[in-house]
Amino acid sequence: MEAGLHFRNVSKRIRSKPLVENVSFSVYPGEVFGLLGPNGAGKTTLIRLAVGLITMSQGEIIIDGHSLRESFSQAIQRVGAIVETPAFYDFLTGYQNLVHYANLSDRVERERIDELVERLNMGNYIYSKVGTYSLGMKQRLGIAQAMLHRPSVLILDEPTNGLDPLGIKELRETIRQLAERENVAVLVSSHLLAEMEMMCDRVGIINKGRMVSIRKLADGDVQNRWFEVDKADQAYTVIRTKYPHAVLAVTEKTLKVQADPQMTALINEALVQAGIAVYGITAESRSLEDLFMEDTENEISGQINLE
Amino acid sequence: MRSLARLIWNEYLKMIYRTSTLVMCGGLMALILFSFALDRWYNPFYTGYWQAVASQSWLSFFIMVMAVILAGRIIADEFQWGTIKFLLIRPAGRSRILFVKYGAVLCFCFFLLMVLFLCSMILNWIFQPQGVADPSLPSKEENGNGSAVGMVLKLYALRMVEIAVYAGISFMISALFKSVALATGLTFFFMLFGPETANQLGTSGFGSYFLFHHTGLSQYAQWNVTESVFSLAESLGVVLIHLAIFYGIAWIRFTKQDVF
Repeated sequence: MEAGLHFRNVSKRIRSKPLVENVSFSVYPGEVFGLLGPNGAGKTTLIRLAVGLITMSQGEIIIDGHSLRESFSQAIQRVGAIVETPAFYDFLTGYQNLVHYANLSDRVERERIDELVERLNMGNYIYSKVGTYSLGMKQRLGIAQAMLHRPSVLILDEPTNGLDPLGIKELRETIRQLAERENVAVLVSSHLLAEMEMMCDRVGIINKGRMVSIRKLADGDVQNRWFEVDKADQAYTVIRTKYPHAVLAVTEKTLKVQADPQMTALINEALVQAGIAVYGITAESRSLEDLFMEDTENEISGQINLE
Repeated sequence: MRSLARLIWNEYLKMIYRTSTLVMCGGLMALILFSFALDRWYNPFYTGYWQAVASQSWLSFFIMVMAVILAGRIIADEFQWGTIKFLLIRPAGRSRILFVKYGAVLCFCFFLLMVLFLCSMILNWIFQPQGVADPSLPSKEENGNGSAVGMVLKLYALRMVEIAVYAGISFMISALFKSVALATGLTFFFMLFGPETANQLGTSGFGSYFLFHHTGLSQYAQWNVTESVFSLAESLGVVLIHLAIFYGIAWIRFTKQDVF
């Protein structure tokens, strides 16, 4: 069985107008995967396809080994989701809302509701009518609603919309916790780059209904680094012979390489052994924004880079 | 089975915790009592016990009105509130949710009808306790075979079918257009002009299958049955086929649509 959430060549067209074309990606247990793209790029369509609110025209979505199209109940029972802003029955209390949603799944005991109420710190207001809740409180109730049946896949559409900074921070921590401690596969969508950068392990960049690229966002990854040296020409020759794939560019006083931290140390060692003075090493920090701009521009110029 | 019961409980939770439902129920009870009072005041001795119970069954009309409102709301509201998205992403599945929603409206109306029936029995008993034991029906020979109790039960059963039909129409429109106003408005329009259209249409040929020839089912359980063109079985048949079609349309719409 393939755990997690898998999109395989999924397309959605409405009257032959494509909303999403041939999208494939996987979200694995313990990982937070972000869907990133401008408004109208198709993020929400992908999210709604993943929870079965809309049907796909082509392709397949597999959740923990179950096809969403062929065995909906089996597949969806492993999914918890918030689609858009969490909407509740205002005239019921938070607790009654949770009981209502628990009744729609199998095997949710009252103890589970109590446990979530405690864990999400909703004890103060869970017996008040939802009509009196703030957006942050509703968002928390939304998370509780999504976690009731202990899903292995959590899907959140624009989860930070309308939250204040403190609420955003709390939500981010909750999401990371769920992924890391409970091994949940999390799919989030957002158009806020900074937000995604802090929350996600990988991001899929969506533009005009297509998956433009999938990027890993971990620290200590392969990065461009600048070596500031006294004799750049000599440094270039040394490294070129030893690590032919690392070197990217050379100027009068600097050498630009592409390397992970370990490789960086090796290059430094080689330079020092060759008698070249290394004044400094700078990692070029490329923000998600750069990646995003780069990928969407690449796409415009026709080079689609699928990882 | 257990899960079906929990789903129906969910629908009740959403019905009875709304102030508007409670107000409607309260209004219904007030109307029923008021109309009993009128009955007693103006017509104190006009009938026997069972006849009084039978004739007061017309008050089920108010339950029908409430059924139309409840059925018109039960789907459209979920869309309007946005809660439909949480509802449809559960293992329960769309077909089951649709079935439960219509079932919940019918069960609730059945309950109200039972309340009406019991109120009617008790209040009439207070006014004429001696009449309960008298099972005789008024003189009409052709109806002499059944007991008074049987006739009253049949009457209430047919009232329930009438309620189910108009609830069904409202439910279908609610599923189709997701608008409470349209669902209740159109259904009341049909309620008002349907029978009149039936009269205009006549009972020859295909016109005889027109739904509103057959919705006045309670006429088949009156002690003073007037000559009617159709038999009870024919009318029930037409009504049930229409209901099946309405439900089918609602089902196709509700289960096949994309929810954005």
